[in-house]
Amino acid sequence: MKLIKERKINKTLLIFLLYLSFCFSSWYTAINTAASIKFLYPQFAALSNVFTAFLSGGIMPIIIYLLVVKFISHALKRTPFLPLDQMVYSLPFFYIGANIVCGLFNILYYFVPIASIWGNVIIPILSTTCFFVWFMVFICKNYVKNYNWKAMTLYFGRIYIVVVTIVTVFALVSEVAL
Amino acid sequence: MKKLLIIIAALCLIALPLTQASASVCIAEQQESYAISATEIDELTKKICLDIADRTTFTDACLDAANVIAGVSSSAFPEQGGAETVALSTASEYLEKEHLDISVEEYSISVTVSQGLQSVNKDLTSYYVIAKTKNFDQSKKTILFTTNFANHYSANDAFNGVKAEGALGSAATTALTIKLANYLSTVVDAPYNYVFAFFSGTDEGNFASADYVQNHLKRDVMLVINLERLGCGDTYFYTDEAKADHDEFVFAKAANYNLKQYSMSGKALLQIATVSDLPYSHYAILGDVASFLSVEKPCLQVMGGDFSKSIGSEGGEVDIVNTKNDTYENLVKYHPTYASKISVVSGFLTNLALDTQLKDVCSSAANSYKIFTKTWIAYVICIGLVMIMIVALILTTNKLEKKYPPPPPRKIKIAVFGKEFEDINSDDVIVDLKRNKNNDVNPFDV
Repeated sequence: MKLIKERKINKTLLIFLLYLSFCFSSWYTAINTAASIKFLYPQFAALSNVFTAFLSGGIMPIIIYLLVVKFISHALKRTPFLPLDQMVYSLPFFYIGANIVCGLFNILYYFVPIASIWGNVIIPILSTTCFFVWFMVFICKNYVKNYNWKAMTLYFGRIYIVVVTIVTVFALVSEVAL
Repeated sequence: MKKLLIIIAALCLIALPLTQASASVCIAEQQESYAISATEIDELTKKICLDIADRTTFTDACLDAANVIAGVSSSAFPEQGGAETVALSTASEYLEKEHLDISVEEYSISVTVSQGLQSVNKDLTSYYVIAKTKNFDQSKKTILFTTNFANHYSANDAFNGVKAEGALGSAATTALTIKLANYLSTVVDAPYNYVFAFFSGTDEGNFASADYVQNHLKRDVMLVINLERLGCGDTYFYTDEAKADHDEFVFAKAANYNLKQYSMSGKALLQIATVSDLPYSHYAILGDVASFLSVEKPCLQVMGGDFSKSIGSEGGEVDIVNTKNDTYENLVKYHPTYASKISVVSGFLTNLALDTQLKDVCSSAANSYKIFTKTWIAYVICIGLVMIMIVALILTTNKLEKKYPPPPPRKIKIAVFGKEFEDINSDDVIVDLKRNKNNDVNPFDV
């Protein structure tokens, strides 16, 4: 926590670490994608090595993350009493934590593949929620006056729940429809 | 006279279990001893490669090959395309009609093929062979042996032709299945019925086995044994994604024949669905066994390879299946002990197929893990988690409101006559209207 408060890590390095954590969170999927390409399209075998698949697995998530953070921080720029700068700086630390948990669960899937079917759906939501709660507690305790905790929790909690609900319902509908 | 009858009856009662025991001993002896010899396997493999080199699915050659396997005809040499029927096969070469009811089945699929910018619907037809033991007893359970006999000799709508006989890919395993059919159909007092299916269209999408499941699969089939690419690397067996009822029984038997259990752990998964509800697959469930796992039949997949290397590695110097190198010469060159390996497998299979205890462990349906393949359940759990989040958010915010109430609102007082006339010790914000002439300060900035 001292690391975050004293801002000891450079922002660019932090984003790079976040990118690597995104790669790690889906390493098993990356391996499987590489194997599938190699098996189905042997002519692309040279391009579909595990290392390439691992590194490409984090590209889309990091782009989406940067865009969403940019959009939200821009929208909330003029909100009073909001420690926006501190929030934007600290968020990657917690996201890295959530991604590491997801990546560790991939080890389980590696040995028990059938666990990946439910695990790939439930674990990311569960771990992200846990780290989001931790993130909120950290921000509130360190940068927000205690009588504003309620407003802060309600505001960001609602945004988080709405996003999770939309993503889950969309995935469920596409699953049932397909 | 009465005494004599009683003595005869008593002798019969004693003799009956003895005869049963001797019969079971006979089967037990067979279990212990019977394995198809490597020479027989090798000869038939070579013969298949010569007689029916072209066994391409969705071509006329497939029908010719099916007829040859069925013992209806023996086809011309590969140079003649395998299309010309020349003579009836001799009894011992392919499936023996004496003890087997054999039929060649036709199946069709509709596909959309792109021709330039246009898409054209096409009906494709192909064939597979079913052989049932003639002494089929309705009261007995059935073991179904399946294998793929087709290859990619010529081009079809799915694959380019490789002009190779598919010696390792299908010929050697087909040879074993034919030999097994001919042997098991002759066993007297066999504990089960045996059905043998020789499929085509496996690499194209398990089409023949899917047709078989739809039109021929009976409820009394207690175990499906699918044989695939035997003779290379080590021999592995696989039963299901999770622990199946017959796992331990098969494992104990397989250990005596140096067969290894195929493990899913540490395997890269292919993002292709072959078994229904399972969003991934791996080598063990790519073939015809997938059709039977999809309908929750207890299965046993027996296959050759070296799965410590890559998904479908054969364990030889080079992988030859589905390439122009999959010829009999290369089979012998890269896998010189292939026939011996298959011979060992045949011993395991006959032992298993004649074991009277097998029906006890194959009684229940497989796929007890099926609930974990339903992704929508996981999403419903997630929606439940969202509900919990909403409740937790409401409770937390209520608690925070009580624990840290907002400070009392501060009043704004306008000091019309100057600050000195107001109570400066109060929490009120005092706006002084008496501005300093030298410093034009906004009163709200105070």
